[in-house]
Amino acid sequence: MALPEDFHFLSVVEMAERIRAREFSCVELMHGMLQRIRTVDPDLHSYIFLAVEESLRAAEKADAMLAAGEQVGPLHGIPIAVKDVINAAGMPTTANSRLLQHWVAKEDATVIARLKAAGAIITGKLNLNEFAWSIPAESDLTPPPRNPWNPAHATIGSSSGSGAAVAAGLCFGSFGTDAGGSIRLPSASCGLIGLKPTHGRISRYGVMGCRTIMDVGPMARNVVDTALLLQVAVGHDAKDPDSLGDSISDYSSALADGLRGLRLGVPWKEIEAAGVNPEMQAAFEAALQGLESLGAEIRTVKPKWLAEARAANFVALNAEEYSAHEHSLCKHPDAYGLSARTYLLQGAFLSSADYLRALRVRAIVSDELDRLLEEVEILITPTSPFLTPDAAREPSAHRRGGGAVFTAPFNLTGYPALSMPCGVSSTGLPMGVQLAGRRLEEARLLQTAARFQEHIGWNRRAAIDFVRRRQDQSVCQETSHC
Amino acid sequence: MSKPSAMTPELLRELAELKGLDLSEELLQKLQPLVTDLLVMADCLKQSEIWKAESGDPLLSEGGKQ
Repeated sequence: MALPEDFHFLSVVEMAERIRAREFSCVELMHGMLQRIRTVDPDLHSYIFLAVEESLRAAEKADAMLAAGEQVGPLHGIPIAVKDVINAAGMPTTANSRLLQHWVAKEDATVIARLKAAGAIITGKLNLNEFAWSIPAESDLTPPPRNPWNPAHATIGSSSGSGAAVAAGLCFGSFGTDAGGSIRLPSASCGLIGLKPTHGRISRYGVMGCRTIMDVGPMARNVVDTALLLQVAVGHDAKDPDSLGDSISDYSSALADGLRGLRLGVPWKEIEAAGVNPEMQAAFEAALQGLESLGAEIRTVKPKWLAEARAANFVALNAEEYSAHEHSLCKHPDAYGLSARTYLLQGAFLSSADYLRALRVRAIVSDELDRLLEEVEILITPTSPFLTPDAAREPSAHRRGGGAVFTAPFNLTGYPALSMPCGVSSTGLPMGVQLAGRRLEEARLLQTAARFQEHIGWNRRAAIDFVRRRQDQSVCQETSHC
Repeated sequence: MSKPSAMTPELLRELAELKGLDLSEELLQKLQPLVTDLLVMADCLKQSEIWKAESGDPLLSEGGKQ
């Protein structure tokens, strides 16, 4: 049987079932995916490195396993790509910087090893803001990815290539990193589910980034795929000092539960202070109504110290980034882009007292969140107040925490947080809602997102709305009536 | 949270030299607003009421002798 015309938008779960049923081979799927990437990606720039030979060899091996009747994993033959700060043996890890342009990883990051053990094929490395901490520019090693929903806009970072590639059907799912919102923000702007798990739930061994506040997490087109990717990646790893040994939930089973009695807390004061875009505000309020209609109880909550948590997160981020890059910034300054160099140097001007004070804030805010998360199970906010990266970078917005105003506090505390789609703006850009929960309660976030996604018929509705809007726009332009 | 005074370009240049950083004028100009915002954040943290919630250590929570 030939690949379906829209094979690239099938879910991970459905594609894996079809491969196991041998409706088509892993090699056929890989050829189809590579062809699609070659056709679509020159305009999107989501990939930094495309592993053509390696992917085809892995697909041949995957077909041979099926032919031999071997036991295969839940991701057998599925093309997955990852942010280019995650090491995959034999592939470059550039972090989109000329400093590492020719550096090739000798060993898989733990998350890559686990994906491969589950049968996934790593098709390549995806674009990002240089070292995940800069404003992207056309002069970057790889230019910034465009948003497939509206290519007039760049994709929000820093896991921007992951957002663009998954949304455009250039891989079936991705893993990004998040030290302030870098999984959740691109997921929101690309209409994806993006999960930053509890700190240490997924090993960071073989992944570049701040050790204190950064986590690795999945990005996918639906909740079921997100749960499956999470399940494959979690588990203790002695190579990551922060890796958790706690028992692991069955994330996919939890998706069937309803929302009756679930208490969702809305920090209205924080939302009002953030200057949320009016379309985003309306979509957020509609999402609350939708969740209420599903049986959830919406409560107003008044969390303390969220501004301090944001500030502490950025102090820690800048101090740790400068610490990591201090030597290279002095020795090879010209190997960095101007923006990355500027961003990474900021931390040089902080004191050790500033950094240690930021870490003390973490304990206090965690206590406060623990108290708040006894009143409600989940805190809910817009993922970002803004729809585009440019709006988030306006000086007044930047001072309030920019696009990360709602996301960064959960990096500092290490609590799990997820972005789920809640609609599409008039400019064709998806919008997202953030759900943040208790430590290790990823299953509850996924369950809530699953019910909501089902309620709004996200996959179907988003596509139809998007096409209709585009058609309306072209009719307006043709008739000049608008 | 209160707002402390901003980092001036001259102070930034002096601090960079003290730290052994050889920064161009272009880079210093780009750094100045970012570092100002970052130090404002760090100073706001220092002056925040949050420390009253940190109990058990009078030096940390109350600043020692009142």
